[in-house]
Amino acid sequence: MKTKIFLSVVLVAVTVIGFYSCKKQSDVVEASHLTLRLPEVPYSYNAGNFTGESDDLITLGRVLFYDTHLSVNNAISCASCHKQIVGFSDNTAFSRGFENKLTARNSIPIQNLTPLFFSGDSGGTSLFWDGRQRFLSSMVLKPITNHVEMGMNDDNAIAERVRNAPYYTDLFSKAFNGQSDVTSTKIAGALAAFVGNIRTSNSKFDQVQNGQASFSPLESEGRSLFFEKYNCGSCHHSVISPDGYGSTFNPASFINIGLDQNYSDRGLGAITHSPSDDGKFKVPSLRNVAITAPYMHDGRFATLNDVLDHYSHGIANSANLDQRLKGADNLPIQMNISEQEKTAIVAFLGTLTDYSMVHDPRFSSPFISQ
Amino acid sequence: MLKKYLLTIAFVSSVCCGYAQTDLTPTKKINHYLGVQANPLFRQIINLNNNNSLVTNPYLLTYSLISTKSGWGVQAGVGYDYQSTEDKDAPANHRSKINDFSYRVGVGRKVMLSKKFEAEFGLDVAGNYQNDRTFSQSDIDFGSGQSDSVFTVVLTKTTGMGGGLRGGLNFYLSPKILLGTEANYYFMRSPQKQNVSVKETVTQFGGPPITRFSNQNQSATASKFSLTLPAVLFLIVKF
Repeated sequence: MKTKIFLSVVLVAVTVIGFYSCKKQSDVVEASHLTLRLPEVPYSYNAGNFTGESDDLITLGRVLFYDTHLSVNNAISCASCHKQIVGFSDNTAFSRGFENKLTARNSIPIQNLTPLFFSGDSGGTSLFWDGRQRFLSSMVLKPITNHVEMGMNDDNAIAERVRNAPYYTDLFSKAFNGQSDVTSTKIAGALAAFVGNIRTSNSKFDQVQNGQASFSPLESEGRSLFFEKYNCGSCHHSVISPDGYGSTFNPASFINIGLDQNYSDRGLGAITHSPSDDGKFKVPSLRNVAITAPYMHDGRFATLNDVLDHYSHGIANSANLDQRLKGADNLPIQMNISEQEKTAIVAFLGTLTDYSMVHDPRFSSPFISQ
Repeated sequence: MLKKYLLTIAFVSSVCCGYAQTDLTPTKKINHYLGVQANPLFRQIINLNNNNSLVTNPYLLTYSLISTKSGWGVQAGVGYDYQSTEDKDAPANHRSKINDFSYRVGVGRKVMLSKKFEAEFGLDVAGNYQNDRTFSQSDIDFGSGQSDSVFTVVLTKTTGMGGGLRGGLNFYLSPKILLGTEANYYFMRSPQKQNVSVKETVTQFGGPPITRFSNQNQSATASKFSLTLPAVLFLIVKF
């Protein structure tokens, strides 16, 4: 009898909640008011040192990067998931797309992409967590046409949307020597030019390398632990070069670090269709790592301490676990990093933050809220 | 929308009726299993670390009706997600309303592996229905009295159908309370229809505003095999 009453109450509650959620709500949204502000003379990006694009082309890319017109509902831009203030990553495990639905992976930070990304016939490297794109100019349009992220139907729809926004006529004309016609190829080129010129080279780590600063004792201890005792540099070698993603496309750039025994996300394996690549993901740059939480391809670790806990005693065994994380007995190693050592390593990783980059107006949104 | 709730009501009603019948049966021929997804509950009780993980099993409630003699029976699962959000911090203010309904029905068998562990396997037909709407509005002033004002409505409907294999493992906490998990491997074919309406008003160099309307219908079909790993725990009542 009591059970019947309980189930009846549940039934009524479900019905009431159901009808309440179906209640008609207004479709009117209060408009946001923005002003497009660009400097009279374009910012200088010194692109000649890296990629060779003109400042006008990079400026066009900057506007496109921050423009919500590039999403199907005019609400999401590239910058919605790649926020400057957190090293062009997102401060959530999974970003939200145009319908507020969760994306499949954590937003990867953007900085110091190499000129190799721009080469056409040879070279190229691995973009996205699973390395499915090799060239920046083809990669930049993928999130725009992704059905969860920005939702545009195809490249032509992107071009049409940009063509209809009146402020692009002048920007395209300047960027392409007087030719103001809009094509998806030009959009991709401009976006790639901007993204490829987001550069960081003024962290404390860089200043120490250049003899302009010195590490504190704690940071020095962390550096020593990172490169020597725990040999983190064997995978994160690119942290010592200005180039955050230094390697060309190479399966060795993808590693299974023992996050799971069974893979809900195959990573590289889904691209190569090779079971031996299952659970392997790109080794990311550690530049700005202190401000790009959460970590891993699924944002499972909220803090750097959680990441160190994983290496300390949380590595899961699997057939594809990287050999560097296995002991002589072929089982996962337990680094057993002490709390003091963790503090030191985190302090060292903090020296990789480039505060000038995350506040640099050249990389900031040109759309200012009124 | 009403259809979905009728289905939900029908599901809960069937559970009520089933209970009434077994109560009156002198010799128990059928076991009922009612499960509820309990991951968020367990996270509240036992939060061992800060790890984030995306729960991908959409079935919030499961129900099985199993013959005590053969172990064979039928099972079903339903899940519903409704979200209404408004984002005023984004460059373009926007509101989204998401309605996602997932269901599955199938046949399967439960087998006792030991006193405490019970395995289950089966074949399912699965489906989902998504009805999502999003609205946004922004005004962009780009100097010299020029502006671009855009209002957009996007309606997306997806009706997926498919099916596949399911397996699970239950642990008896007591004779009537079980803790279970499951994995499935489904093929789903999901045709999607999308309507995009844009009203854009452009004012250039102090001229009269020019308003342009566009209304586009798009459709696409996605087909995929998906593996759901046993990452979700169910609290199951057996009666």
